[in-house]
Amino acid sequence: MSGPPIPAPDVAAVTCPFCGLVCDDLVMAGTPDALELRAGGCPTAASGFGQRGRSDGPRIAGRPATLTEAAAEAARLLREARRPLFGGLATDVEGARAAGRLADRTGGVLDHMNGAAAVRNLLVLQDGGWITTTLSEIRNRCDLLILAGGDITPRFPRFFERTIGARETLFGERAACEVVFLGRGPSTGAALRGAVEVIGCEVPALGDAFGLMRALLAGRPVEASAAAGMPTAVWQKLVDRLRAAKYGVVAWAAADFDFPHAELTIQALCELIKDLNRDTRCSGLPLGGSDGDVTADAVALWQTGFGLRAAFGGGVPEQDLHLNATDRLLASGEADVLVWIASINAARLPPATDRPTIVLGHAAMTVAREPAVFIPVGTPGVDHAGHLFRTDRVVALPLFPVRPSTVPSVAQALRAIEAALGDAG
Amino acid sequence: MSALRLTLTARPPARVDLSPLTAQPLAGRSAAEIAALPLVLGNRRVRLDELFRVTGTPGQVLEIAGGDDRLDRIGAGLAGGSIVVEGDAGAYLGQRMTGGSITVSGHAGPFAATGMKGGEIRVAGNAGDFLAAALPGEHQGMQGGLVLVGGNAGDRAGDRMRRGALLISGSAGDYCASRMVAGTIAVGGRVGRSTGMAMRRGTVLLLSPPEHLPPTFNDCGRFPLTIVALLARAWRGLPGPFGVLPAAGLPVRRFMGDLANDGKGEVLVRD
Amino acid sequence: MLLRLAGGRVYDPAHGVDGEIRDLYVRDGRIVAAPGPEERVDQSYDLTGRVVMAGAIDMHTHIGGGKLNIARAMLPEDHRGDPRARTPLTRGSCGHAAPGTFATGYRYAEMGYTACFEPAILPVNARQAHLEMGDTPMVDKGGYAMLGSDDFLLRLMASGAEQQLINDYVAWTLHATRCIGIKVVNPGGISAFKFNQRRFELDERHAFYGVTPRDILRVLSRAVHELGVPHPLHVHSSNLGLPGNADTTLGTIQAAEGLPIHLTHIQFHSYGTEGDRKFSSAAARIAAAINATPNASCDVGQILFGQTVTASGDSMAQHRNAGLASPKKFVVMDIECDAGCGVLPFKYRDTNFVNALQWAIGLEVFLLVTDPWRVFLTTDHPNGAPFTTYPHLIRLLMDRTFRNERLGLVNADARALSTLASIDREYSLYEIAILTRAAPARILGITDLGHLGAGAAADITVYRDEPDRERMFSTPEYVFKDGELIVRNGAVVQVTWGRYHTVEPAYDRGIERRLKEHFDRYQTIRAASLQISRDEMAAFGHGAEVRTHPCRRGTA
Repeated sequence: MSGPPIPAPDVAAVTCPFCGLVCDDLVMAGTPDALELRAGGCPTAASGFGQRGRSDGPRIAGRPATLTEAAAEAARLLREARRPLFGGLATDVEGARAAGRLADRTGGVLDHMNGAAAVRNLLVLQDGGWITTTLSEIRNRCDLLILAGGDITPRFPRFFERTIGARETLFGERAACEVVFLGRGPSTGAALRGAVEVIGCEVPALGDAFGLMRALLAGRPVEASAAAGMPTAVWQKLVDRLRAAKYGVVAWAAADFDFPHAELTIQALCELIKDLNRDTRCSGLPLGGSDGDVTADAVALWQTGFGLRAAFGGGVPEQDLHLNATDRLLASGEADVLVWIASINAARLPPATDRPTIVLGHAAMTVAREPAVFIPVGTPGVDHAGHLFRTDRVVALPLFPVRPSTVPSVAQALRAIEAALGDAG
Repeated sequence: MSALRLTLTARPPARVDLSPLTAQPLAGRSAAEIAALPLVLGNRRVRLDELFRVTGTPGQVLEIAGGDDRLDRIGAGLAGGSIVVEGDAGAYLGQRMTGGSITVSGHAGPFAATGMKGGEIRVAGNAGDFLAAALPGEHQGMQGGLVLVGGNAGDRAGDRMRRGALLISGSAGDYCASRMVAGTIAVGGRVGRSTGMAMRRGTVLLLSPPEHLPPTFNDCGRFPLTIVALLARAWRGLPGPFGVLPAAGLPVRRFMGDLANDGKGEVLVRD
Repeated sequence: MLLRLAGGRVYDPAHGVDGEIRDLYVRDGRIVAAPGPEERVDQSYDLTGRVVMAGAIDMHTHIGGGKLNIARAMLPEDHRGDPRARTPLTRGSCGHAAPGTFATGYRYAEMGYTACFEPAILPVNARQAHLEMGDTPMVDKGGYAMLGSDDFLLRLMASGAEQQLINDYVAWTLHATRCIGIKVVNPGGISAFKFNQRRFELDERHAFYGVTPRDILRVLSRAVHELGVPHPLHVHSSNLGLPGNADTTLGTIQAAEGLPIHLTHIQFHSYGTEGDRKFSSAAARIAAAINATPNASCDVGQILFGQTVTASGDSMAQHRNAGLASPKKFVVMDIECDAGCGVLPFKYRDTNFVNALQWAIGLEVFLLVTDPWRVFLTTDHPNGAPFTTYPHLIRLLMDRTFRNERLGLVNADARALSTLASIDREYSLYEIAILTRAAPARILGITDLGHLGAGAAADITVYRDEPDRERMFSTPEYVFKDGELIVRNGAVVQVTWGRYHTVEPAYDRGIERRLKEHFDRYQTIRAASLQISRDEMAAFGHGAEVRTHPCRRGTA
C-alpha cells in the first residue's frame, strides 16, 4: 500500500519543545549523549536541549525509591487529599490527558505554571472573543506588525525569523513589513528588515491607548491629548497605518502584560481589531504555548468542556479562573496536596508550600526543599515521543526522542500513580 | 418569626458551596432534612450538620453564625426571606438572587451579587473583587436590586453591571464600573485607576475625585443638581454617606465615556 | 460467545427488511447468520415488541477539532448549566452546545448512535481533531479533510495544473490527515476573505488567484471521483445564510458536472428573496433539484429553537454574521494558509421571523426530498442545534400532528410564508432507519455499518415502540457496540472506544517533493509534521483500530 512515510526520529529534523513556537526544523548532530544544535537553534533551544539530567531515580522524602514505591506513596497522599492541586502541567498531550484523568478521579484541580498569563487571554475569549491569525498567515501576508507590550523575542527568539523575516512569500517578494513596538524595543540581532518604530509607551496603560484608538477610528470627539504616556497624535497615526494596511497583525504575549486585570487591556485591543475588520483585514496573535500551557488547556477543554483551573471535587468539572489559581490555592491552604509537573524546563521549580508536594520534575531539576515524592521524568521531544500545541492553538506537532532515555514520561509516571490508587481510589 | 440558625463548628478545611441551602425555599422543610443536606467539601460529600450546628426552625429567616470566608454561594438564587450572616461570607454571595435580603456583619468575598436580579444585600465590612460583576463568559453582572457595602470594595466593582444600585460607602479599587452596561454605582471614598473603562451606559457617582479616568472620557463640565437629587431621595435613610446626601442634590462635574464604546456612560464627580 | 436478539421488529433497509419479526445472532462482535440447531446460544435477549435497528450514524457532526475547542473555551456559561457527573465507569464532563468529548460520546451512545463523522478537518489541525475524536468514547469516528481555500491547491489551479496533480494532492491529503472524505467550505471564499473579499459568488474571481468557486468545485469533485473515494465531495456552498442563496446552491449542483456531490446543511442554503422581508423559503426548488439530480445528495442542518453555538470553517460567513451572536462574542480565525474558522454563539428564537422560517425550511426539505437515501438527518451539530435534539427532530418528521402543533407556535409571518402545514408526509420507521443508518453507511462506503446482515459490525440499537417517537428515540432500551452491551435504558453500562474509518487512495508520490518544497518555502511547519501516522492514531484513540476502506477507481 502506498502512503506517506511515517515521521521518524531524525536528528536532521528535530522539533523543539522549549517555547510556544515549537519549531520543527532544528538540525542536531553528534552522539546521543552530546548532541549539538547545528541549525534552527536559538538560545532557548540551546539551553533546553542542554539540560542534563542526573541519573538518580525517584525519591521519597529524599530517600531513593523505585517508581512503584514512589507512585504508591504519591497515591497514599492523594487518597488522603481533599483538594489536590495538579499544578505546573508542563507536559505534552499525553501527560495532560493522564493528568486530567487523575484529577477527575481524585477530585482535584488543574492549573498550569503559566496559568496567570493564560487566563488573561482566556477571559477575553470568554467575554468578547477575537479575530486572530496564525504564524504561516503572518509569514506570507502581514504588511504591518505591531508588538503590543514590546519585543517578544526574549520569549520567542525565532519569531521574526520564522514569520516576517522571510523574503519570499506565496504572493511574491515581500515588500518590507513595517514593525511597530509598543513598549520595549527590539533586542539587537532581531531578524528585522525594513522600517522599525518603537513607541515607548507605558505598557500597563496600553488599555487606555487601545480605547483611544477605537474612539479615533470611529471618529468620536476625543478631547484627551495623550494616552499611555504618548500624545494622541501618535495613536492617530497608528490607527491610520492599521487602516491602510492590507493585513495588519497585532501580536502580544500575555505574559508581558503582567499587571492586575490585564485582560481588560487585551480585550480593548481585540475590540480594536474587530472594529478595524469592518473595512480592512487585521488580526491578533496571542503568543503563548510555552511550557505546554496551550496544550494543557486544550486537552482539559476537549475532555471536560473546561480548560485550566477546572476543579473536579464535586464530581463534575467546574472552572473558576479566579479561585482556582495555584498561588491562591496554596496561600489559602485550600490545596492540601500539590502535584507539580515540570518536564520541560528544569528551572520551573514547585512553588514554596507547607503542603505535601509530589514533583514530577525534569531529571535536571534541583529542588530547594525536598518534596514528599520526587519522580524524575523525561522531556517530550528529548527523551520520549509526544505532542505539543503551538502558540496558535491550531497546530499540534509530533515530537520524537533525540536520545535514549530511561526515565518515565509524565504520562507513564501519572499512570503508575493511578495504578497505585487501585480500585478503591 | 421562626429562624433557622446554623453555627459553624470549625473553619472548614476547604471551600463549601452553600447554594443547596437556598436551592429550594427553607420554609416547609424540617430541621432534620436541612441537617442532612449534602454539601460538597473539597472532593468529599458531607452532611450539613458535619459542619454546622443546626438549631431553630426553618422559615423566613436563616442565620449563619461563625461566618467564614470559605462559605461560598450563601443566598444563591434567594427569592424571598432573609439571611443574616454573623461574620464573613465567601465568594458568590447572593449569586443570582431575585428577592429577599442578605446582611453580612463581616466581609464578603469576591463576586458578591453576581447576576443578582432583585432584593437587597448589605455588607457591613468590605467586599472583595468583582462585586456585582458578571462571571467570566456571562453577560450578566448585577441586574437589579440594591447592594450596600459599609466598607471598601475591591477591584472591578460593577463590571458588566446592567441594572440596580451599588453603593460603596468606603473606597473602591481599580477599574470600578469596567464594561458597565447600565445601572448606578456610588462610591463614597476614593476610587482606583481607570474607573469606567469600556463603560457603555450607566451612572457612577463619586464623592471624591478619581485617581485616573481613561482618556476616552470627556469632561462635560458642571452638571445640574437634579439627577443627584433624585438619587438622594431614593437613598435617603440608608446607612453611610448616600443616605444623607443633600435633598437638593450635589454640585457635580460630569465626565462622559467610554468613547471607545458608544460613550453614553457618565461619571459624576462631586465638585 | 453466541448472542441471540430474539423476536424484535427489525428495520434493516439495506436488506429491504421493513419491520419483520426476526432473530439476530451475534458472534465475536459481528452479526452472523442463524446458527444450526446444534449450536449453543450463550445469551439471549427477548426483544418481543421492540424495534431493532443498526446503530445510528451521524454523517455530519462537529465533534472534534480546533473550532470546537474554541467554542468550548468561549462558553463557560454553556457548561455551567449542563454538567455530567463522573461515575465509577464514566468521566466527568459537561456542555450543552459544545460538550466535552466524554459527554459527547456518552450522549451519542445513550441515543443509540454508534458512529459519528466530523465534517470539517483542516489539514493543519487534523491531529487535534483526531486527538479529540480519540478521546470521544463509545462511537466509531472519521472525518472529512477540508480543501478549497488552501493556498497549495489554489496555486496549483492558478498555474493550470493537470487534474492528475490535483488528484495526487487530494489523495496525499487523505493519507496525511487520516480522513475518509473531502469537504469544501465556501469554495475559495475562506482564502478570499483573507484578501478582504466579503462575498464570493459562484463565478466570481478570487482576487489573487483568479479562480472561481465553480472551478474549485469542478476540480475537487472530479478528484474525489477519479480517486474512487466512496464519499462524494462534501460541499458547504457559497453564500451561506444569505437571502437568495438558493440560486447559488442550484449552481453548485451544476458545478459538479454530473459527478457525485453532497450538499451539506442545505437548509442554510435554501433561501429565496420573496416577501416583504426579502427572505423566503426556496425549499421546494431545492428539493426538486435534488429529486431530479441522482448524483446529488444532501443533509439538512435542521435548526431547532434554543441556545447553541455556530462553529464553521466559513470565516467569511461567520464574520458577516458576527453581529448576530448571542451572547455577543465571536471568534474568527485565519489559519495557516490552509483555511479558517469562525465561532459564534447563537440563540434561535421561535418568535423571530428568520429563525422560524429557517426551522420550517429545514423540515420542508426533509419532507419534499422524495428519496430517503439522499437526504440525511443532521442539525449540523452544533450549528443548527445540539445533536441531543435528534429525537425531537425525528418526532417532527414522523408525527404530522405534532409538527403542525409546533408550527402553530412559531412566528406567524414565517408560518404564513411556509408550505409546511400543507405537507402531509410522515416518515416511517423504515425511512428513519434509512436516513440515520443505511444511507450514511452507504454514502461513506462503509460496508459493515448501518445494516443488520451477516458480516456487519454488531452495532445494534433496540427501542421500545412508543407512540411518542421523541421519547422512543431519546432512551433506547439496549445499545450494542461490536456485540457488547454498552447502554441500557439510556445509560452507559460499558465504555468502549470505537474505531477510526479512513480511506487511502493511491497516488503518485511525486507530489510529496512538491509539497515538501512548498512547506519549506512558505509554511511554518514541515510537510512531514502535518502527516499523522497510524501509530499516532492508535495512541490517540485508546488503541482504537484504524480501518481503511477501499477506494474504487472512477471513470477518468
